[in-house]
Amino acid sequence: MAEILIVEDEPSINELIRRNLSLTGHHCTQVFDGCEAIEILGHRKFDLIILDIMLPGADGYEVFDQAHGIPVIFLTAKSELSDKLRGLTRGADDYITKPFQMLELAARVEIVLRRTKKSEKYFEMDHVKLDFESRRIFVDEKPVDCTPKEYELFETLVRNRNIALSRERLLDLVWGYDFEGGTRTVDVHIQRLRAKLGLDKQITTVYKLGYRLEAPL
Amino acid sequence: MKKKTFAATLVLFIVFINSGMLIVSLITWRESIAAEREKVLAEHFVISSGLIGDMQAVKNRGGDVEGSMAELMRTYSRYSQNRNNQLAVSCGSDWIYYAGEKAPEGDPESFWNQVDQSERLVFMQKKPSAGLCVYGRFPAPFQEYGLWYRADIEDTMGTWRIMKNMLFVISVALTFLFALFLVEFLDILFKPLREISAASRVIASGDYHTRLHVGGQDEIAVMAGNFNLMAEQVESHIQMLQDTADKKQRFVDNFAHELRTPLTAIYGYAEYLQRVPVTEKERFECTQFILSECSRLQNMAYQLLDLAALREVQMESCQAAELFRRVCEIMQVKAEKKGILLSCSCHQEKLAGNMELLITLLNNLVDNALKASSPGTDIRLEAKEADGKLILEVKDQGIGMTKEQMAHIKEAFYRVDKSRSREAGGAGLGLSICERIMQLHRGEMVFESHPGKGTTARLIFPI
Repeated sequence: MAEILIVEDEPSINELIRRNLSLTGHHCTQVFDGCEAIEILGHRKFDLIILDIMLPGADGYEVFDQAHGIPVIFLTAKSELSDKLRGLTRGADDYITKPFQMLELAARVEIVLRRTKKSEKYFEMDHVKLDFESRRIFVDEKPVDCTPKEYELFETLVRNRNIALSRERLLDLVWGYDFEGGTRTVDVHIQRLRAKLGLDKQITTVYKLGYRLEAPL
Repeated sequence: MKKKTFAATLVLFIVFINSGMLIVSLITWRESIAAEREKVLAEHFVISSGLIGDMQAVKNRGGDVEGSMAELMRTYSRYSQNRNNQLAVSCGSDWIYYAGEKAPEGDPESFWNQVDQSERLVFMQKKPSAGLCVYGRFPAPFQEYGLWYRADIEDTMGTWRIMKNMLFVISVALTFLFALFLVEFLDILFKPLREISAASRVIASGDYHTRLHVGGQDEIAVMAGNFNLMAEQVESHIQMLQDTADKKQRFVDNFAHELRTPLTAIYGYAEYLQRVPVTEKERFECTQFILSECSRLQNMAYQLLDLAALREVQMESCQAAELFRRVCEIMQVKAEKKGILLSCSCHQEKLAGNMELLITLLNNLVDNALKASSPGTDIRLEAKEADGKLILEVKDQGIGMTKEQMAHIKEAFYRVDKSRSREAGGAGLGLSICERIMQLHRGEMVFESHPGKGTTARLIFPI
């Protein structure tokens, strides 16, 4: 659960980012121009700023100067190298260019938060608890005996909770790109997780897409 | 060119110097022959007079004139032979005396017949050596007799020949010297041409800044000046093409940027709907975003099509009053809704243009003015003539623009206030379309604006 400031002047995109980040439990504050962003940075602390570069009022770089050590992911429609370099040499943590995919945004946010030790240490849902540091799953406070792949699959579902992940994507994320087996492997592991954790209802099968862990927001 | 000039000049030089030499040698030849002739005639006269005197003396004594001729001639002969000259005396059709081994060539009687007593026959003989012959008849009582005298002029001719050869050698030497000088001279003369050619090569290779140094007032300097003028024109045209290409590139860049935001939103919300369990309310909100972004894209596409379609227009005579009336008709509702007073002022102004396009143009400008104005202010449309030009003005009392904003307003996709323009569904192409319409009317669109005081858009048409 991180405090994230979204600075983006297009309402539709600002809203889109907020919705996406809220899915994984982050708390977002939306700001639509540069001056407003600088003002809010003056009296509130954030774990991460998602910052558009072309902003009315003050541009993204000016806002960045006021961030004072808060990690920043620049968001821009410009994909030119010079802009990337300019942002990164100033110490931005990452870059996302429009148009972007939901999973890409979630993954980048997660990586930056983990790097700055701002990511969550536990995940709790009903009777299930996940400890990210010891890499163990507890059901009713008792550790569950599961294989590393089962653990990784569940962690992936948790980190992308409320977002449907295709079997192929899960294969990539958990087993890696060079895995030879088919998507049936994913189905088998999902069945096992459902049984072991008693999450039949929460781990849903999404038509034509794959699986999704539905957790309360 | 250089070779041709060289060859032509050299040939001319050779012709002139050789004809000069020829004339000099001819004149010299004639003069030396004339001098020889005088001399020979004088000698002939002296000898004739002496001989006639002697012959008279012999006759008076009753001696044989013909028989004593050898005796009479001895002194003269000796004198002449020393100088390689020949003497002969004729009587009737025979040579009665001659010095040396051979009688002179020719028939004495024919010589005798060719002259009378008062004149003498002078002619040239080339063989065996050059000689000048004189024949003259004696006066009575010796009218049967004539004296033939041949002076050898081989020496004179020899001198002349040497001089002639000398002249020839001199002319050859002069020709060589002249050729050398000519090469150097042409080299200097053609140097500016070489420079021009080098400069053209540099320009052809893409360096359009190259200029020639212009010195002096001659044709070459004029040519260099013209060359520089041409280079300047080329450079400015290239610059213009470059600017146009830059403008196009900027347009494409902006267009790509402009496409990215709606695309990101549409893609993002569609993905969200597909992957995330949503409530009915959320579904509506997401689809609403998708729809509005789609209509934004659609708007942009239409305006781009408008812009692309504006190629040629039919011109007609338009009344400013009619134009304003129709624009007000369209914009009045919008203005009233915002509480803004829209007013027009014009007289009998007319202009050549396309009514529909002019309405679009003014609508755009009035629309911009409406966006910038707050309730209770005025927007004024005015037509007037000044300096032989027709000016249409759209004047508002809105928020105005800064200098920096003014610099960009004609750029495609530029919006002074992004969020408000977006709410109104603008694509940032309005003024691009206006500018294009003005171009088609060969007019000019200028803006005058002060932040907080308002903006005046001025359309200047030639009459």
